[in-house]
Formats: sequence, structure tokens, C-alpha cells
Amino acid sequence: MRFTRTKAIIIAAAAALLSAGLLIAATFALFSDSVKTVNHLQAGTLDVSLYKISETGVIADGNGIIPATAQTEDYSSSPIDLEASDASVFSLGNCVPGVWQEVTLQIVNNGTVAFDYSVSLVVTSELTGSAALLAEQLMVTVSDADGNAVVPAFSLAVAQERGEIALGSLTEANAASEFKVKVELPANESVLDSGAEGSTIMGAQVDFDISVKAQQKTEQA
Amino acid sequence: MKTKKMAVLSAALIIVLCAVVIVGATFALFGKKIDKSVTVTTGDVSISAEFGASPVLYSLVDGVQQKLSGESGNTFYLGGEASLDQDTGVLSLTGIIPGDKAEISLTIKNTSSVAIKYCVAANVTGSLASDAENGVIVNTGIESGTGYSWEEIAVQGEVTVTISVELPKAAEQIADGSCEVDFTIYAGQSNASDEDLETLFGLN
Repeated sequence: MRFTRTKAIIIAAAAALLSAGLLIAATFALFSDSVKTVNHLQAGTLDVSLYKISETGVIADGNGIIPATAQTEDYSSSPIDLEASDASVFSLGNCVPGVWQEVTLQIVNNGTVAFDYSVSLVVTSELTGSAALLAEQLMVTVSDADGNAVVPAFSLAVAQERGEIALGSLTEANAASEFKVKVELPANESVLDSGAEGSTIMGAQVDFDISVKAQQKTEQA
Repeated sequence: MKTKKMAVLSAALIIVLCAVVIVGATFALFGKKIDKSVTVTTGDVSISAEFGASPVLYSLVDGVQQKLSGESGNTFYLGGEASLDQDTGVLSLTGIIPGDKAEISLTIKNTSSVAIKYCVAANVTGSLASDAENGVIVNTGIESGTGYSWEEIAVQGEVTVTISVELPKAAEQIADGSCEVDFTIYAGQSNASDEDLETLFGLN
């Protein structure tokens, strides 16, 4: 009788100890796993290039001779990088009524960020006297690659009011798009002589900036 | 209560911070702008015209029109006279008879910045102008006869034309016939059509 009770107690104690051990062991024997990930955060780049692909028009040559028909220069095989400091967009010296020039420009997405692009013209010379008269008569047309006007032609005198003219978007790297800008002095008004200072457009000058802007594309709500 | 206050304060602070981020994010777009300067200048059309010193005279001598020597001055063979006003460009012929002719040279210089077209027009007044058959004939050196004829001159170029005013040999003599001829030189940009230039100057 005594043996059986003692045995039972011992066995019970051992069982209790074992259970405790199991519990303790089990407490730390949970299934577990871990995955380590490495995250790289890198900013995109917005970088564009602007090239002149061609120019066409009726402009006076170095001898003051104005051709009867439009002359075209094609630079598509070697586009002119307009970011270069000495590259000009237009050659509009010695103009007379009837003279015009249209350039085809190409914008290229050299970066990784999609962007919207636009063009604007801002007169930088003082618009008084003959310069003001000339700015009123100079007509600007902005067209897409197919020659369709993006906006109605407007005079240089109101270019600043016109503001930025939206042209489109480039969403992929290395994508390119073309557009045209034309400046014309229409043969609307005959000028018989240079007249008093500032009274006609003979011997006049007007300066303006043409800007092409690319801005990160945002989704409209 | 204190806990509630803290919670409200924290929430407000979070809202303010979010607003700052949103406002900051609105202007934080990538962009690039390429600017190019353009200068537009216009040319001008201007000419200078200068007549020769004095007319060269011709008269009929023994029925044949001959050039008179310089010794005759401004007097035709039988006494008529020719005079040229250098300032106004008016040639005056008085007392001339059939066969008398005066020639003057006119040098036109293109002082424009572009190539031009020019035309010399003559206007005759006086008794010798009124009769188409018996009046003087003016040859402006470009094209004899009627109409206007335009010729080109390069930038800084010049041309000298010889203009003649003649009472034809077959004309009936008009007593005390006289006339004045004034000349006008018109010039316009060379790429204009003749018709447009004539419209510009009211010649058609």
C-alpha cells in the first residue's frame, strides 16, 4: 500500500516536471519564419532635349534678295540642338512685308518622368514706336507635326497674354514629338517710306523669347 | 479629461502636418524650361537719283538728226532751248522743232537693305504734250512707249539710264511749242509683282 502511494506521488511529480518542461520548451517552439527585403528608393529624372528639325520660309538672303518661292532647310539627319548657346530658332533679319519662316522643333524625353510640354512667347524689347507697330503686325502660328494650328494665329503684341500653349505629353523614356512655330510679316499694309522716327515698320526691331517648358505630368482629378 | 485633451491636440497637430505636406507637395513638381531669344528686324526701301549735269542735244541738220556739240550749250540747232533743273528733275524744252531731241542721264542707286525694283515714269505738260501724234515722245530708257517697266537693282547697286525727250521728225510743228517733263522714280521690294507695285503707287 505504501509503495503504491509513494510511487504514485513520484510519478505524478515527474509528470508535472515533464509537463512543465514541455510547456517551457513549447513556449519557445513556435513556428516562425522571417523574410528580409531590401528597398531601394530612387528619384526619377525629368530631362528633355529640344532640336530644330527643319525650317522653311521666304526670307531675305545675305544679298537682300527675297526669293519668289519658299526655301526649305532639312536638318532631320543632323538635328540642331537648341540648348547650345549659339543655336538660333529663327533667322528673321531684314524682313519686308511677305516674309515668313516656319521651324519644326522636336522635343525628346531623355529622362524617366512623364511630362506635359508647352510653348510660350514673351516680347523682351520695349514696345514703343516702330517696335510696337512691328509687333502688332508680326503673326505667330503654333501647329502640330501635321501642320494643324493648335491655337488661332495671334500677333506677337499679344503673345504674353496668350501665355503657355499646351502642346501635349511625353510619357515614356526616349519618346519624341514634333511641333511647328511660324512667324510671318504679312503683306497686309504697304509702307511707302520710312517716315518720321517710329512712324512705320521700316528699319524696326523687336526682340522676343520663345520658351519650351516641360513639367512633370500629373493626373487630373 | 487630460487624456481627452491630449488626444484632441494630437489629432489637430496631425491634421496641420498633413496640410503642410499637401501644400508642399502641390509645388514640388519636376520641370525644365528651355528659353531662346529671337530678334526680328525689318529692312527698308530707299533710293537716290541723280541727273547728269546737262542735256545732250540733237537737231536735224540737212535733214539728218545729229548730235550737237557742247559748244551749242543748251540751244538746239535752230534756237530752241533745253534746261534741266537738277533739284526738281524737271526738263524744260522751249521753241523746239521736229527733230529736236534732248537726252539726259539718270543714275539710280539702291540704298536699301534689300534688292529693289524700280520704274521711271515721265509726265509731260505743255502744248507739246497734248497732241499724241505731234507731241513729244519720252523714252525713259527702260522701255520705249507705253506702260511701266520695272527693273531690278541689287543692294547697293546702281544703274544709269539715258532718258530722251524728242519731237518726232514727222510731227507737225506747233508754233511756240513748249513742254515740261517731270520724272518720278518708283522703287519697291524686289519680290513684289509689277501689278502690286503699280497698285501701291497708284499707277493703275
